[in-house]
Amino acid sequence: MGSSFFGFNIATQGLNVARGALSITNHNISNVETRGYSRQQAVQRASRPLSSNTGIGMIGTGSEITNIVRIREQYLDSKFLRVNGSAGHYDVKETAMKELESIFNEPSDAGFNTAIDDLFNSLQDLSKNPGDDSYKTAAVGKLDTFAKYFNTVAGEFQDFQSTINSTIETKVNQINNIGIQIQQLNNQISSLEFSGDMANDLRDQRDLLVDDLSRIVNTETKETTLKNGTKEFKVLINGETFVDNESVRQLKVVARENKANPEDVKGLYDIKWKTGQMFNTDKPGFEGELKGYLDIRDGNNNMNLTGDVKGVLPEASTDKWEVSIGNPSRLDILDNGQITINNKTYKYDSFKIEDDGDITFNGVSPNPTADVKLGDKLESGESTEYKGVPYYMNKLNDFVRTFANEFNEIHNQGQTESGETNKDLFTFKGDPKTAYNFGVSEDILNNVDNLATRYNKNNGESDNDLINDLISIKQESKAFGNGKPSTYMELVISQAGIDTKKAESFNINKENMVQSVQNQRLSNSGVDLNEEAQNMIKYQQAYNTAAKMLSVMNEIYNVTINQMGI
Amino acid sequence: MRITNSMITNNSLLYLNKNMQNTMKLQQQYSTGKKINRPSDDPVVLSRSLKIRTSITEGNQYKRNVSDANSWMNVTEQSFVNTMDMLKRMRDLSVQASSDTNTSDEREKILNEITQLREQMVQEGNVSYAGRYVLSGYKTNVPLMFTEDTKKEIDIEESFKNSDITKKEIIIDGNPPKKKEVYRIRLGYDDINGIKQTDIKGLNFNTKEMNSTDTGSYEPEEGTINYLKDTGEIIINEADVEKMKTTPGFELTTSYYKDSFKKGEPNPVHYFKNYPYNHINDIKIDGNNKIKLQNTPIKEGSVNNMTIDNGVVPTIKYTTSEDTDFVLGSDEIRVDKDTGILTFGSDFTKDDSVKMSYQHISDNIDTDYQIGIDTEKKVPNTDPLSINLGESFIKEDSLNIKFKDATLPTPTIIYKKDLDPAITPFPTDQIRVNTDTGELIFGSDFSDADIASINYEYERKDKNPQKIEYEVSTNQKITVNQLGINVLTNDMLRDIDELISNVTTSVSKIEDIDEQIKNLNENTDLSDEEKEKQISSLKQKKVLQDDMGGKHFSEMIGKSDQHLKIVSKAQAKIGTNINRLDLTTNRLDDDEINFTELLSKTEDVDMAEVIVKIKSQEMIYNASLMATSKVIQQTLLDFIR
Repeated sequence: MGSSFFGFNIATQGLNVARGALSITNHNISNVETRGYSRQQAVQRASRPLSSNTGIGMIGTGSEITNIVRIREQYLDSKFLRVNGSAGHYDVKETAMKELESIFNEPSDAGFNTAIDDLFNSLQDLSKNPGDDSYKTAAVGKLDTFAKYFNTVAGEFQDFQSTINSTIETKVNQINNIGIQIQQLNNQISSLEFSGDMANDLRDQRDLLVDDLSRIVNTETKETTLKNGTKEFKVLINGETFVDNESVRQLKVVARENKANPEDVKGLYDIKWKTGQMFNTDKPGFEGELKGYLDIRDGNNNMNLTGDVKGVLPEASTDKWEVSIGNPSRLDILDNGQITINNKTYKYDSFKIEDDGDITFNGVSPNPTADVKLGDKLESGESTEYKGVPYYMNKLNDFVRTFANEFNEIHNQGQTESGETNKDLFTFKGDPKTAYNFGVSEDILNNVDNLATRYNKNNGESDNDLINDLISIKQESKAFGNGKPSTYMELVISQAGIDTKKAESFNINKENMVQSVQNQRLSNSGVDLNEEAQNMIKYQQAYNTAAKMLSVMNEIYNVTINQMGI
Repeated sequence: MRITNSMITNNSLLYLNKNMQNTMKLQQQYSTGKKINRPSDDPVVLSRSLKIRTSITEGNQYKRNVSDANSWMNVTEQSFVNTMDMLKRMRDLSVQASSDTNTSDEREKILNEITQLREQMVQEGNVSYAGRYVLSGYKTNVPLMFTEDTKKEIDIEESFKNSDITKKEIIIDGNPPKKKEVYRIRLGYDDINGIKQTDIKGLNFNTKEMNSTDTGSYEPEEGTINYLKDTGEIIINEADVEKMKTTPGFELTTSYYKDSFKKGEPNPVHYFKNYPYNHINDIKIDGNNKIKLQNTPIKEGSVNNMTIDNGVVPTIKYTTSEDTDFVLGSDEIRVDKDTGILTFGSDFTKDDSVKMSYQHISDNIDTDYQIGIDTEKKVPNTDPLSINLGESFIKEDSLNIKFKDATLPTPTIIYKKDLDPAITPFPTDQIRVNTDTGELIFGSDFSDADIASINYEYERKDKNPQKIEYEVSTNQKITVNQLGINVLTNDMLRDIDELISNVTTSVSKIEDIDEQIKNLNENTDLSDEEKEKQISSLKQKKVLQDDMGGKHFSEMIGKSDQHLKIVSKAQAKIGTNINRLDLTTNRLDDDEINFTELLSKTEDVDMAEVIVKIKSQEMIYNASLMATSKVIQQTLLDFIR
């Protein structure tokens, strides 16, 4: 029979166990709404039995709580990380695209459709009264309004791109912050678990941080146990190591020296590791809010400059070189920038467009001649598939350049009141010609007499041939692919609408998936008040019974000690 | 599956949110009444709605254009109708006046009415709409005919062909006076102040400037043409007329100077090629040693009467602005005829004051000719020896051929129209030009010849005789105006004016004669025999004059008929255009209704549908709120003691 006070111990142990379990239940109940909390459970075990020397079997020694475990399913966590990335991606895209499409301001009275209709209607009125100054002033006014619509839209696109750029910086900072916090938690967890305990709440916090990180950029985690029992926790973003147990590699943003697209604003950020390597955003699995923002900010529908190398000319005595390409995909490129051939980048200082459409680049070393052969592919700028801000800016620029050209071709052949000819109607206040610096010529704005209404100023005042030719641009124009200029813009605006709708429906889809996985997680690790209430009663009874046991034992000892013998 | 509290709260929030999203969307539709408020609501519908809106705005504009066109054309038509009425009246009066039973008094009365009608014609020619003269072509700020006596210095140029030589009967004073038929070309104006230049193609003539009252004015010698300034006629000797008629390509070009115009006379700016004079009293040389003249292009040789206050007498050289080889001497002035810029040599300085006069070329409505040049062609060596110039409507006398082989004979070039009968035999050194089709047929001398170059002039395909076009529908233009010069022709006006002046002269001569007869009757100095002789001679004169007066009127009948035809044709043309406009208006009205309906169907929501949806959505929202509140409250604890 064990020691005399054996029973006491068991009862006391029972009390302790019940009390421990109750406090765990307490903990669970108070954390029922804590974000990221996984319910904890006590692992109760009967303590090691003693053998009785009389050979009648083992005698139980009570129970003990060996461990407090967190109920958490690793598989569900990694599934959540995966879907959360896509959801973040499309969430950002939906909001951003909604803002982008609203820049066009259609349908409304201040949109493109109204502006172009008004312009041509005022020209119609002018065609009936070409000599009348008030009609000329009205027409010039509508031309100005038309140009200003584009100025405004282009300006808003630029602002939008800048805003997204700043947001990207914020996101990168958020990523870094999370990384640092995870790293600190790693430290704490490893020092706490060194003594063998499970740092449940810290792990919960860490998992929550990882959840948040996965929304911004696609995240994976790996936990490995080393031979000596210590655990190592790794976080990878976009496949690259971010937090490696107690060290963290941070990201930084670096303003671009050379624009990726001619339409970009200056100083857009590249994302790099603080050690200097590029953060590879071209990987196929890249997801997260960051991807959404980058797509919108840099998306150019793969319309960066590409071409086939047709000739390479070094200038022997100097470091200057010349590379010419054929089949260029576009002609409106930056004055100076970078070209990439065979994965090597070279800086160019100037370029020239030859008569046959080829482009020749000139630059100073490093010299590409050694590594470049004819037929190699040349690329400049980045190629992002999504139709983002650069794509739309490019379309706008294309439109105003073509439109201005069509108008100017006719206007140049006309004569102003003072007999001047070869004057432009639309001008661009700078280089390159963009929708932002597009406008009616200053001369005409200041004095409507500078608007040429006739091919020959000696014709009578009612000669409206030139104006009728301008009007015919509305219905058909060879330059707009044999369609109407308004059709061109309609397509652009529709495209924005379609992409927004796509982002919207993808977002709904992904959010549903996230919701469903989250529900599964909560189902698994969430606290159910009913269950805890039940546990509360269970352990309360256990405690009561154990306490009763103590009194019984007390009685027995009383009898044994006080009432046996003399 | 284990359900936890947080699951329930999460999900219920989500459901509530979804409900609210739907409600918001319906609310937006309800308050705006439109299905789409941003492109992403329905990109396809947006595209369609934009197109329809454009169609509607365009339609409204077209309707405005049609209304303006209508007014313009109605004004024009009315003017033509009135003119026709006037011509008819003139015809009737002429019929009346041409009868022999009229006294000169009666003729005078008829003449008065014709004069009134002529004045009325000026009103009709100068008819205007919204402050612009509708019959003046592009120059809608210049009336067709002068509204008052005007002083205007101008050189007028006219060209005449064989068909313009007409016969006229005049009375030559003498004892006895007799009738004579003379050949003449009538200029556009009378009361000419001076003759500038006369060129006669193909023949040599002397020109004599005189007035009709001079002796021998209507009897030019052979080889001389008499230029009558007061009546505006060129009189030609009969034998010379024969010569002219047999000279192929005969053309007489003359330019004359007139410095004042009477009220009602046609404005040369519309009717003829003209070179107005500009006088500049004081213009200062600018900092680049240049002066810019307002009116261009400047006529060669027309810068005259130039005085500059530094006293230097300049030499004036004419060129165009594209001339880059020009060297300017220090006392020279370079005149760029096309831009009107005068560049002064170094003898002249900034702020020197210049006084000068110059002429500019005023645009007219003659057919514009373009120059065509063909090079490196070869005459075929098989019949027919013809090549095609590639252009139609070749200008007569404008063809110039250079053969590579210098030994070939100089070709005689004959111009004929498509329907002219072929001239046979075909001389071997002749080239026939079909002016309508641009085909050249060569004589056999030129078989297989290499041509170095062919220069010629052809009518501009897109010659635009000052048509004012309004767009009344997609890619459909309508010409709203008619040129007054083609309807109230110079010929018609001159015919009427000549009639008036001739009959006035005739009537006054008759009055004169009557006066003389009366005086003779009362004269006591002369013998009866002498009186008888003189009176009978005077009576003969009177008969002649009477005859002449009647003849003038009877000629007018035929002329009125011709002019009536022209005006009536023009009026019919406008009538057709007005009808066409009516059809267009109807179509535009229909379109407006259709498009507005279509736009509404495309864009607008069905209000009743939206309201029902909103109500049901509200119900769903309320239900979910209640459900959420019920679920979240109760737990097991509530039921334990």
